[in-house]
Amino acid sequence: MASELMPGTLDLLVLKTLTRGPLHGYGIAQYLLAASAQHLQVGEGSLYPALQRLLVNGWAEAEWKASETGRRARFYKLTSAGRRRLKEEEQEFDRMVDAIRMVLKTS
Amino acid sequence: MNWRNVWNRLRGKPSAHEEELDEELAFHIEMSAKALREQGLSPEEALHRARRGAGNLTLAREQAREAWAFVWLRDFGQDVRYGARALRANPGYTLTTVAALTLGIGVTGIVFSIFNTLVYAPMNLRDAASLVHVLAERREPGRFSGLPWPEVRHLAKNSKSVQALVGFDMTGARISRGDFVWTGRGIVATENFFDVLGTGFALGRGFSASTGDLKNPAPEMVLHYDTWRSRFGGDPKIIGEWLDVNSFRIQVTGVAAPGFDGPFPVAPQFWLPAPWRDKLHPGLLTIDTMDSCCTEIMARLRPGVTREQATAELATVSAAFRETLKRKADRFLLTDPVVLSNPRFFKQAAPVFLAAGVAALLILLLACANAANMQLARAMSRRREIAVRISLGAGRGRLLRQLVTESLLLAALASTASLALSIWLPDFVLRFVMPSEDRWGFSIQLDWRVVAATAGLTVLAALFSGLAPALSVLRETVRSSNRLRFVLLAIQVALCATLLSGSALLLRAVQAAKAVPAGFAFHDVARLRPNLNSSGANNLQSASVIGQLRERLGAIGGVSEVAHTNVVPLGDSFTGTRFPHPETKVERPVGFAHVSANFLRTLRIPILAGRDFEPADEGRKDVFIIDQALAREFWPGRNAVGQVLGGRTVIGVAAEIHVQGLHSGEPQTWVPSKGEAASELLIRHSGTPLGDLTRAALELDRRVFPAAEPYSLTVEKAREQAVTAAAVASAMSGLALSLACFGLYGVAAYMVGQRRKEIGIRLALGARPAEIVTLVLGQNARAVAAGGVIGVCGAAGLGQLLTGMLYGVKPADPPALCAALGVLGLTALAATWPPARRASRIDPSIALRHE
Repeated sequence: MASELMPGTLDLLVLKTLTRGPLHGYGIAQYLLAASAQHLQVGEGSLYPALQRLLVNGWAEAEWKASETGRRARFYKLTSAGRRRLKEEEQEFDRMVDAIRMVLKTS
Repeated sequence: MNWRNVWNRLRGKPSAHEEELDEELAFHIEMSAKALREQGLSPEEALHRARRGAGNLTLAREQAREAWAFVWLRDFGQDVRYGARALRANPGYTLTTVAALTLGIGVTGIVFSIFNTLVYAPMNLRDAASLVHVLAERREPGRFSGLPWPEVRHLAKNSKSVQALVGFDMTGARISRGDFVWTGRGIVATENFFDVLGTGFALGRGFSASTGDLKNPAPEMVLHYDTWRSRFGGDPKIIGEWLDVNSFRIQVTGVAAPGFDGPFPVAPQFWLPAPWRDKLHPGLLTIDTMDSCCTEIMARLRPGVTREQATAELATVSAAFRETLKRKADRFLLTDPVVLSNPRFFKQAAPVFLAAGVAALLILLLACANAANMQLARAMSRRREIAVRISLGAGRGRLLRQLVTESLLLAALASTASLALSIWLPDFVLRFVMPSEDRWGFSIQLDWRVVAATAGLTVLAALFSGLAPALSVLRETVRSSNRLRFVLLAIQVALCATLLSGSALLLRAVQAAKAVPAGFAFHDVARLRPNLNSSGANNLQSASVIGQLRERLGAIGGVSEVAHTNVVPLGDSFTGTRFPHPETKVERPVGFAHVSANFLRTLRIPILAGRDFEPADEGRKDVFIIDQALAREFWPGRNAVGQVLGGRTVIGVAAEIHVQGLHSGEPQTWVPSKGEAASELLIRHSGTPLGDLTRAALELDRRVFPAAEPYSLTVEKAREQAVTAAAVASAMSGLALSLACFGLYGVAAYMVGQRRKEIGIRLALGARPAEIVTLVLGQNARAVAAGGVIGVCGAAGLGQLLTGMLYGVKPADPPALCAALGVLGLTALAATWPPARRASRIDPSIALRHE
């Protein structure tokens, strides 16, 4: 079953996905679904705003290319700023998870 | 983002981003559908599921779009276009809301633009930016005024910090050209007046240099443009013509440029060179005495000289000059050349503006509440449309912005209308407020401050009137909107009650002023103003003319007393002096009037101690009569008769009467006199036709005696000073009342429309029409009661603001507050009655079939 994403983690997941190489929106959603063993189903309602955010902030670049079906699709590619951002977000995520664990253990 | 892009967004054209996004989303759905088809679903089913799976695409698109800056710009453009379309589609709603807001913004704007003109806008003078109004603090702290003529001339000659210095003062004169005679108000000024302050001439020129000659000034005068048009029919041949001014021949040399009123709050009809004043009014010499008060001064500072430097330098020059005359130095103050440049006058005007400003803001608030209720009613009727748009994925924030944009549009329309109003309405209001037929010496300036203030008010009005209804609609609960409607209505009623109470209090003050006893008997007394000072007679000649006049008038049947005085109680003139307190030696201003021996008897002013004047006292310099107020203050608990003040012995103590005004006044003293240039006559008679008195006077001297008039006219005029304030307040509360009335009607009508079906059912079940009327009335009655109580409490508090204008009435005057509530209740009933009647006549069969 698909679960809710922790807030703020979608950007991180998308950035991480893009380290594997350029991918279009549908591909990113499919990859997240597969990589999370069908747990993370990301709706377009959150995915495309997130992708726009990456573009606006310069963490990703987009390019229209022919997709595997031959239809034109927008492929997203990580920029070096995006890689730096990914590293920061990863650290931030680790810190948060540690913090949550700590709370869960002590109480 | 380049400008083409900004423009496209305002026009609502999709940008490249959005087209790309749409294509991307379409691709996404197509891919999902393909995957579903591969799982064995039919193509239609697959597409349907993919679409549904994609979730809220509109929202996605909108949120994705909002990631980009400038999105609001396109949205704003779209909202404005959408709003404009919606407003056009509902002209009735648009018109009424705009009318309500125009009233609110307009009234506030008018009060502000009058205030702005008086306090901030420089007067219409040549290069006003480098001009200053020079004031000296004389006699008491905070009492700023001009200086005596000799000192003005000294400063003009010796100050290094000013480029030019102009002195001017008021005067009056009787002007005749052939048979045409009129008494006008003028300004006497130094010969450089027009060179320094003038804005040009419609005809001719200003004063020549020889008009500055103190002994033999050139006989020249300049006419005000309006006077030239109204009194001389705009005759261009007026230049060079000789007019008769108080029996002197003076030549018209110029007509000032249109719109030039000079640096004085009241527009003069003519300007004369300063030395002419003493020639025209020999009874009161000013040009060569340091005891005269007060020549107003305008100065143009030298470039590079700051106001502080100029203030210090003028004070030094003045102090050195006063040193030679063994007089105390004054503190100087330089202010902007605005109408209320004198801090003393500003202080006097401040409470009036505060009261008017608060009243205007209350009306604005009322108008906002009114507009808010209309917007609420409209928004509620669009509830279905809004619900559809929310379910289609429109963001609430976006809808909120849209609704508020619509009210901004309404407020913007209203402020455009009110700016148009404030071009001509303030002048009208001022003309109404001007107590006499004079004209103000300034016109209302519609400058950037007024426009900025109006823009600010517009945004505030839009937020006040638009935000609450929009939020309430988005919350989607009918109950909260009903509560809001009730609160908005109560606010309107409360504000209206406050304003009504304010004007009721002022009306009560008018009534109270009418009831103040003058302290003397003015019925069966005629007033005759001989204007001897305009004939050029000196005091000695005047005394003889007055003596003859008293003799002639006294011989007419029915005339019992003919008295003269240079100060007519409650008239418009007043003379005073200062006496040191016998104990503290502090100087105290005291009224000082020259009267005939029978003056007190003529006005039936009782003598409380000592004796009244005898005819032989007239002209004596060693006796006088004081009033009880002065006796009480200077010799409390002791007999004042026999005491000496300023070389005069008190021979009697008279009862107190009102001399200066009904609500102010210093103690009064009466000095026996044979009559002088400024004297007027008061004639006690029993039914003698006033025409007989006038004729007797005219037989003596055709030129100087205008008609005798009943003295009661003078007294009535003095009592009507509070009328203007009450009239303005009544006009304002009238506006408030009509707005509130409109609001009450609107809400009742809306409620009847909403509950049509319910009322139909009630009627079908046997409710009597009277019960339905009570139902509708009852709903508004609660708001009226709540608002009325709050409003009257507020009024009792705000009444403090009016204390300066409420003579003889307490701020919490029960009759006034009850009257306000009564008017409010009756108006509320009248406003709610028609919808209630309509409700009771609903045909159940039609109402139930409705919808």
